[in-house]
Amino acid sequence: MFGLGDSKNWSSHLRSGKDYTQDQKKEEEAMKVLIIEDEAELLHSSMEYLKTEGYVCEDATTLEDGLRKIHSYNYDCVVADIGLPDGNGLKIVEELRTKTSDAGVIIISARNSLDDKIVGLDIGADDYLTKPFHLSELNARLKSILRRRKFSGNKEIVFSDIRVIPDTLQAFVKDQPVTLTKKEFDLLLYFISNRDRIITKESIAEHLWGDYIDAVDNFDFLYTHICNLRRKLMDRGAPDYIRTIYRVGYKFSGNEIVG
Amino acid sequence: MKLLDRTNLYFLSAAVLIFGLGGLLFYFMFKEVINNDLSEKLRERKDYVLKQLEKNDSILNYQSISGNTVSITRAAGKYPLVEQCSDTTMFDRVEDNYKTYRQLVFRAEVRGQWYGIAVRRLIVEDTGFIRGVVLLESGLFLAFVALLTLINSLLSRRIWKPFYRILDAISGYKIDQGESLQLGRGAISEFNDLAAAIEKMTVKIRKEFLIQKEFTENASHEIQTPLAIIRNKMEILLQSPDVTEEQMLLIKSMYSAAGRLSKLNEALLILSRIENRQFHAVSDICVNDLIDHRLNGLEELIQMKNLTVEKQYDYRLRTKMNPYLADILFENLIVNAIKHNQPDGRIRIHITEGKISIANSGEPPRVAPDKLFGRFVKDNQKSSSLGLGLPIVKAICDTYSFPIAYTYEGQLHKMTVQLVSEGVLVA
Repeated sequence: MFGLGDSKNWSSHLRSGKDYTQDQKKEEEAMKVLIIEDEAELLHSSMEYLKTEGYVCEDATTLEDGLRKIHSYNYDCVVADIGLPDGNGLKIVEELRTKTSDAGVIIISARNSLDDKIVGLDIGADDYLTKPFHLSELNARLKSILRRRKFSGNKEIVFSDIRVIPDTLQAFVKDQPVTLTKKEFDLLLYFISNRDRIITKESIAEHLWGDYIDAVDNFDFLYTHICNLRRKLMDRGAPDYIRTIYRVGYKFSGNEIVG
Repeated sequence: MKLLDRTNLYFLSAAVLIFGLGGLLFYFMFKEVINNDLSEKLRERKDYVLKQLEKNDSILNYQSISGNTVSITRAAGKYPLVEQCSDTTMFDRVEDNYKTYRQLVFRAEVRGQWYGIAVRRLIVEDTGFIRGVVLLESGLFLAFVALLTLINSLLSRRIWKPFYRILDAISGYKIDQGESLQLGRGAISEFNDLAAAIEKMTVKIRKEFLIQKEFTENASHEIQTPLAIIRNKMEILLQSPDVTEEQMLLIKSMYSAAGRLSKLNEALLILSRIENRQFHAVSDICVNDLIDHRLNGLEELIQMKNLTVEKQYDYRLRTKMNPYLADILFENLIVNAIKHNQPDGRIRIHITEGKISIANSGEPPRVAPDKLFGRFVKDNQKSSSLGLGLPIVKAICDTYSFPIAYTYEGQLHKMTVQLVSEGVLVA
């Protein structure tokens, strides 16, 4: 049985500040994620998507199974569906918090259950996602929680020659500061979290504007933000990492540098 | 119109008819009786006059003191051979006015002398007679109405009591809440039958409702999951390295369609839950604060279209609603005002006593105002909107009986919601 020591061990692996460079991916390979979801297909999708991020994913399909697993092992993050066949997934949050585990928790529930969200965040969940969600969104939230919980906030994210400090909203290209708006910063972070993946316009728009996205009829405004971000990064000498995939979305990638 | 008033109306119409006809009949019958009596009397008098004339002429002197009742003349020329009965008006010296008499005029030969004779009797004048009849009839009619009113008020208080009890119970009953309807029984079998029929019906409706409610929720949940699976699989498929550009477009289309379907399903579920009155919890909502909060959240989208927001709060509007529904209501209204606005347009929010109006600039409406609240009605068919925003707004307003109205004037689309509330004038 793993004790609390395990996670401490992992933390000690982490370097912070400028030491932390290209081997970010390797660090995250050690991250253990438990997904509790009764719908097998949804569970598989999430696991498949997250596994390519290099996480060690484990699954549970019932509350009982989930509780057993969080008691037996230490996870860095637990993704729990609230509507489980044998009970309320909020029990997982309660257990983790009484266990004083430092695991992050994302709760997932059907939309329109405002109460679930309030209660969930109240008893110590880190984040809340409503079904249906974009896998890229789950990925970004998961990374953000892992960052906050595991790296005590002083973590920098490095992608090629871009360096981002989420807590201070600072971004650098080749160590030169880039002035970004909040939206552009969030966009960049979302891109880096989902690097080398095709992300749809819908998922980006929903990530940036949340539920209010229904108020707009088209994604033209998204195009403006992306253009601005691209221009600001390239002005500082970065190559064009953002590849537009016609009518589908974007891909943020260092391998397919176009510019 | 109340049932009692309606029956009263029929009773009164019948009474007017009966009393009217009765009055006419009364008039003619009495007139006939009196006329017969009069003719009888005149004939008696004629016999008396003739008998007196047989004896001597002293009767001739009598006519000067008898007023107008007897006149005898030896100049019989203008008197008819056969006796004639007619009405005439003569001056009454005693009373100093004209009076109507019934007269019997005839010619008679007595003791070899021809006499022209008229015997008369004062008759009751028609106007006086009619007045008497009308007075009597009116008196009777008033008595009848008074009695009817008295009986009806007693009836409504006593006999209709169970009816009003049943009515109260039905109007207070919520199909989605509490137990099945219990109406109780009374002394009147018709109302007991009614109560039994209503109880039976509500039990059936309630059962159907619960089944449907369960179905709606289950269906939505069941649909949501496969849709989520489809979307997730599409997202994964999109990442696969072997996908060509064309295939990517196909996958994206399916992905977007699944997303749209999922939103549609969600909106329809909310709509049916509102219509099924499934949001019971009520709390005190400050509309001003809620609007400000919403505007805050939507600030960016407002800026994106470069819209000007004009707020005029004359009142602090408070209302009792379900907080979630209040949230959806005002969010939908504001989102609508943003969505259907033109670039550099304006949004005008005005809160007055018991009322809030949200207006936005824009092209004149292409949809008839009365169809605006219908499901899937869109101003622009190509628009990606679901066409369920306003139906949800309408359903929420209906839940709380808030009248909602749409107007287009001065190039402003204006939605006005009348809230049952306690407004406090902003000092």
